[in-house]
Amino acid sequence: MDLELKNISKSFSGVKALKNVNFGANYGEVRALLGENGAGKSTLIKILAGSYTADEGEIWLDGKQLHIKSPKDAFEQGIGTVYQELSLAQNLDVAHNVFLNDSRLKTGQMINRREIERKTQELLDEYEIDGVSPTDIVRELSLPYQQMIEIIKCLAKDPKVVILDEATSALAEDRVKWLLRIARKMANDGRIVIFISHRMAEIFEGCDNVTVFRNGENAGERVLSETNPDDLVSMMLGRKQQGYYPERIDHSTDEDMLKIEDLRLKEKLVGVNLSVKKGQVMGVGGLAGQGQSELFRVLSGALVATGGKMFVDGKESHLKNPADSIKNGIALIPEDRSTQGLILPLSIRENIALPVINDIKKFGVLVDRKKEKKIIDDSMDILKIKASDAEARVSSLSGGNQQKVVFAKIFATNPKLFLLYDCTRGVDVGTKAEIFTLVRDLASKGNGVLFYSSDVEELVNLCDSVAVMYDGKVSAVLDGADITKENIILASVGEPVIRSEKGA
Amino acid sequence: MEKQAEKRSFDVKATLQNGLTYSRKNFDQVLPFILLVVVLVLISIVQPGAISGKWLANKIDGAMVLILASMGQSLVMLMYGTDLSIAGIICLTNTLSALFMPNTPFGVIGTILAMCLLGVVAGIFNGFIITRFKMQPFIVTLATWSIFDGLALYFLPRDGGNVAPLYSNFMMQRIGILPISVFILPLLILMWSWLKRTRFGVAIFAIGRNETAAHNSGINVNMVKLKVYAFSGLFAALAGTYRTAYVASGSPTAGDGYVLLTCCAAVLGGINVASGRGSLHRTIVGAFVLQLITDLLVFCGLSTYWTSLIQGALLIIVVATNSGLDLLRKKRNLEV
Repeated sequence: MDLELKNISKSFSGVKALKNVNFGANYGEVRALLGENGAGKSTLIKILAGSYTADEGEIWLDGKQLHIKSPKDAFEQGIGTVYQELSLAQNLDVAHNVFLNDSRLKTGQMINRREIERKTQELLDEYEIDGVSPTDIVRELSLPYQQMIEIIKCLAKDPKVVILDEATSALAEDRVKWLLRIARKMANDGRIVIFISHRMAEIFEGCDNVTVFRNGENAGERVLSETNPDDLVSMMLGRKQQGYYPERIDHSTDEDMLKIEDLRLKEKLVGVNLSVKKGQVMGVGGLAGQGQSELFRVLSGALVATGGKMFVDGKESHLKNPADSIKNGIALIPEDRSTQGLILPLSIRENIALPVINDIKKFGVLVDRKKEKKIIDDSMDILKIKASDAEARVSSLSGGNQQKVVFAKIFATNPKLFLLYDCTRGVDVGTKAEIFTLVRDLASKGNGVLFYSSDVEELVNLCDSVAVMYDGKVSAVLDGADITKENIILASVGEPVIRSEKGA
Repeated sequence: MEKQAEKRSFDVKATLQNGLTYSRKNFDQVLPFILLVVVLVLISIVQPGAISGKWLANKIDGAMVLILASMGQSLVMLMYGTDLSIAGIICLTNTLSALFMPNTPFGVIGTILAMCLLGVVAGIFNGFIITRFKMQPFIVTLATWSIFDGLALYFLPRDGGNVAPLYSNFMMQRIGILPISVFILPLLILMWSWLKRTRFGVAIFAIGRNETAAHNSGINVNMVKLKVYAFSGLFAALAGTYRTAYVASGSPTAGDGYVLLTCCAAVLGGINVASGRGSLHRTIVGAFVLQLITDLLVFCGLSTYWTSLIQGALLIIVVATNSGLDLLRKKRNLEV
C-alpha cells in the first residue's frame, strides 16, 4: 500500500480510542471510512492530519516514514485535510484563504495579489465552481460555497493524500454529485482520497473501497462493488441490523399543532402556508437555500416575520425572540450544534439544566440539586447518552452524543412542537437510528414535529407528510404513497409531482 | 483582452459608484476619515484661522507618541488580543531614556536601540506567557503593565530626569516648518503596506477571526502571537523614547493614560475586533483625530478634564455603531 498507518494506538485520559489500528490506501483510489460514534475514525484522521499525535504506531507514505506533529507538518509532507468544521478566515477574500500560509513565500516577501487571484481562478475553473470570484470575501458566501472553497484551499497545496472529512454535510444533493465527481478526478490525478461520510448512498456512488471501524479497531475492508449497505451496517454495528428506520405508524390527529398562513420574510419567504397536525412528523425538503432555514428561524423566533399569521396549538402567536417561542412550547434543534445549541466547555449537567434553571430554584436563589439531578438522569436515560457521568464536558463527547445533549436540553422545557433542522448532519449511523426512533416517539405522544433534512432518504422513510420548498414557498405537500424520492426532487426544482390515484 | 482595456480606461461615474457602495458596506473603515474632516471643520468654525501648515505639523508632533503606541495596540487587536502593558512599557522606556541617555551621538543612538530591545524583550515576555500557559492576554498584560510601572517608579519615583539635550534638540528641530515626526509617518505607512501583504500579516488576520482555522491551515499560531506582542512592545518603547524628547522629561506614570488612548485610536481607526478587519493606516488617522479633539475642546473653552470623559464616550459610541452595523449587515444577509 502507498499510504500505510501501522499499529496506531491513542488514548484520551485512559480511554483507548484506537487500539493497534492498521489502515492503508493506494494512489488513484477513493477510499471510504465508515464507523459508528466514537469508533475511532475521526481520531485516526486527526492523527493523519496532525491535530493529534499517536501514542504508538507509524505512518508511512511511499515507503518513507512520516513524522507528523502539527497540521503544518502534515501539509508539508503531502497530506491535505478538508475539515468538517470550516477552516476559512471569514474576514479574508477567497484568494487569500486559498493561499493562506503559502509556504513558497520567504519571510517578509510580499504576496503577489494578482498571481494568487489568477491561480485561484484557475483552480475554480479546473474544479467547475461557478459564481465565486477570487476577490469575494468569504463571510459573504453561503455555507455550501464556503465548503467548496475549503476543498480548493486544500487542493492548492497539491497534496498526495486528500482527506474529505464529512465534506458533503453542508452540501445539497446537486453539490454532492459535484463533490463525488471532484473526488474521482482527484483520484484519477493520482492522489489518495479518503472519504468520510455518514451517507451510505454517497459512499456506494463515489468510492472504490471502504474500511469500516468499530470500537477503535479496524473491523474490515470491502470492495464496494462487491458488497451492499446491509453488510456494511452490520460490520459497523457488529451485530445484525434490525431496520435502520423505525416502523412508521401514523399518529396524526385532525387538530393542528402549527398552522401558518401566508408567512413572509422580505424576499426570502414569500407566502408560506403549512400546517402540522398533532402527532404528525412533517418533513421539509427542497434544495439548499429555498427558504427552509429562514422558515425555521422565523418559527423559533430568531427572525421576526414581515407578514402572515401563525397559530400554535390553536392560538395565534407573535414571536419576537427565541424566549417567546420557548414560552409557546416550540423547541428548535439548530443546524450548528457547536455554536447555536451547546456551550461546549460546560458539562452535560450544566447544558441540560440551562434552559430550566429558573424553574428548579429553591429559596429563590439556589438551584435545587435534587430536581436538577432527576431531570438530568431522566434525559440521559431516555437518550442513552454515552458518557462517564453528567459532569463530563460536552466538548469531550462525540458528534452523535453532543446532538443527544441538545435533545435533552430542549426536553427540559416541555415543548409540544419540535423544529428539527438537519439534526442528523454529522451524526453516525447508530445515533441516527436512535434519533429516528426518538422522532417517531415524539409524534406518537401527540407532539408536532417539523423535520428538515438535506438527505432525501430520511424524508421518504421517516415522515408522515413532506412539504417541499422552492423559491421561498411550499411548492408541494406530499402524503402517504406520494412521498417518493422522485416526487421530492421534482417539487424541489418546481416541477409538478406525480400523484398516486388515491393520493390526497 | 477587450475586458482588460475597458477596465483600464478611467470611468468617473463607475469609480464614484464603487466608492459609495464600499463606504456603505464598510462604514467602520471610512469613519476615521469622516471624523477627521468633521473635527477639522469644527475647529475652523470655533477658531477661524487656526488651521495652518505649521499648526498641523505641530499637531503631528504632538500626536506621535499616541500614533506609535497605537501601532502595536492595533496589530494586537486585529489578532483578537489586548496589550495593556503598552502603558507600562511607555513609562519604563520614558523613564530610563530620560535618566541614562549620554549626551553623545553614539550614546543617543545606543540608548534608543537599547530601549527598542527592551520593548521587544518585554513584548516577547508577554507573548511567551500568553502562548505557553494559554492565559488571557488581558490578565497577562494587566500584570506586566503593573510590573513595568513598578520598575519605572523604582528608577524614578517622581517626574524629572535629565534628558540629553542633543537628543531632544535633534528630535524637536524643524526642517523648514516640518518636524522630524512628519518623516516618521511615511515610514509607518510603508511598513503597514508591506506587512499586511506578507504571510505574517495575512496570518494575523486569519488568527484574529478564527484561531483554530488558522492552526488547521498550518499557521504556527503561537509564533505569530509572539511576534505580534514583540512588535507591540517595540512600538510602545519607541513611543516612550519619543516622549522623552517631546516633553524633555521622564515620568514614571505619564504612560498609564495610553491604555485607553491606544484602544480608542485603534477603534476610531476602524480596527473591528469582532469582524477582524482594520488597517494600521487608519489607526494613524484615528490617533490624529483623538489628538485634535483635545484641541477642539480647548478651543471651545472646556477644561481639559472633559477630555477623558469625551474620549471614553467616543470609544463607546464608535464601538456601538460598529457592532450595530455588523448586526445590521448580518440581518440583511440573514446570517444570524
